[in-house]
Amino acid sequence: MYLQENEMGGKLKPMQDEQAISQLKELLLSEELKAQEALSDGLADIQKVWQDEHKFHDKLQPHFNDQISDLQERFPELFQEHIVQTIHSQIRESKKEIIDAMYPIVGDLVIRYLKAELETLIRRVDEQQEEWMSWESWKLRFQAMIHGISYREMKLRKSIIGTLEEVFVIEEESGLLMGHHSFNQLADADLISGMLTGIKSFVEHAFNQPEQQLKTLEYENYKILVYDFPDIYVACVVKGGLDQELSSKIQSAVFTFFKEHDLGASTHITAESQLALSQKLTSHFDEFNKVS
Amino acid sequence: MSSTKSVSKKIALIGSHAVGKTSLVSQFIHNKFPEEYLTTIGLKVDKKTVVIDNFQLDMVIWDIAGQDDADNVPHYYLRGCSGIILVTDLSRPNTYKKLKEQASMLKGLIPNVEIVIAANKKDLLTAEEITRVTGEYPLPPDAVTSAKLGEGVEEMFIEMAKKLLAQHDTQGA
Repeated sequence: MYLQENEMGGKLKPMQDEQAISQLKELLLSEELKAQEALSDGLADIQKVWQDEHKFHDKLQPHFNDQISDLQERFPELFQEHIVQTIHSQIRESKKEIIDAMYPIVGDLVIRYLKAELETLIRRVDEQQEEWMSWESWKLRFQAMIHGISYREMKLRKSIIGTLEEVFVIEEESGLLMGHHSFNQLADADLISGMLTGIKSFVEHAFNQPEQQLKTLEYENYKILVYDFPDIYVACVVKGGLDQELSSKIQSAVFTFFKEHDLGASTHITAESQLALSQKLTSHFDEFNKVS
Repeated sequence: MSSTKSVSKKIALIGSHAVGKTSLVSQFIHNKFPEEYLTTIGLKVDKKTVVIDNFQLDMVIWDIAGQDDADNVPHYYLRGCSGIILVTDLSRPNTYKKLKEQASMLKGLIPNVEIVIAANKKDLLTAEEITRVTGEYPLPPDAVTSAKLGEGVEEMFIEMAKKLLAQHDTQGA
């Protein structure tokens, strides 16, 4: 209105200065005023949060949590060296205190260890005395003399040589146990037969070479020797060292057994047939581990 | 008093991954459901003896690792099987949609084999859903089971045992 009147060339009407300045301010500074108001509101909000303990806590807590978890993750990286150095210096400086603290525990352990060792020593002396007088011992001495070796070497040979633990006769296709002889009854023979057949089949087919057959399986101190026959196979479990002599002896015993008994796949494996074959195995292998 | 006759038979469980083969065996043999799922690596052999009509059957059970297609089950594991339990999952159509082809393949591989079809995980469905889903099976299931709840499990294995003993009788043993 002020400008219109000016353009029309009319004489300006008198206006209050303050009102004019206010209008001018509104026209020229409206954006800045809005910004100022927003800033002022923002500051008021911050002040409210700052003054309200809970709100302030809620705002800052996530940042603290992030920092804490970051510190936890990087703790070894940041402080490991410092901690190690501190521990080292503490140990160096507190040797006496550590010894005082450890002595009752270590001392007790040492006493117990010595007591156990003494008991073992006494037991060994008794055993050696008994052994010296035993028939087995005199037999070993005699064998050592024949072989021209010392008694100690002969004894060592006998102790490291393996023993036959189990003999399984298993149907090749089904993995069902046909007969079994055990010197120590290690585990469920039916389950061993099944798993052994599964492993054997897997190994023989895994490399697309079914005509090649699994001959040996080893597990820590045990070896399983596998002998294949038409439709069946025999698995012998040996504990301990297996030298050529023992290997040949087992093979010979297995083949002799197979030759002496007409074995073949059976469509019906019954408890009776299992028992009959197991008895034959027992009478054939029972003396196998006896020292000759 | 009549004496008990006995015979040993090999039975295999096959089916897709995680249909519950191992759980069915565990429930049948140990009466418990393994809460933790452990996939079978290759093979696990178990044994249970059942006596039916004065006849003792030693079931040597081969739990074979799950394959998405029965054709992929290593055939050498199935050799000499008298019975095969085809395990399916009622809640997963993919596990039973090829039942007919699978049964036919197994019969071709082992002509006299007895097959039992198990529809497992009935605990996941309502009675109405079970009726509807089993109706969709290409071959009707012989047993609807829940290895988790132990329902129908014993019955399913006994069903297999009866089939094997009937087969044993017809073979004139």
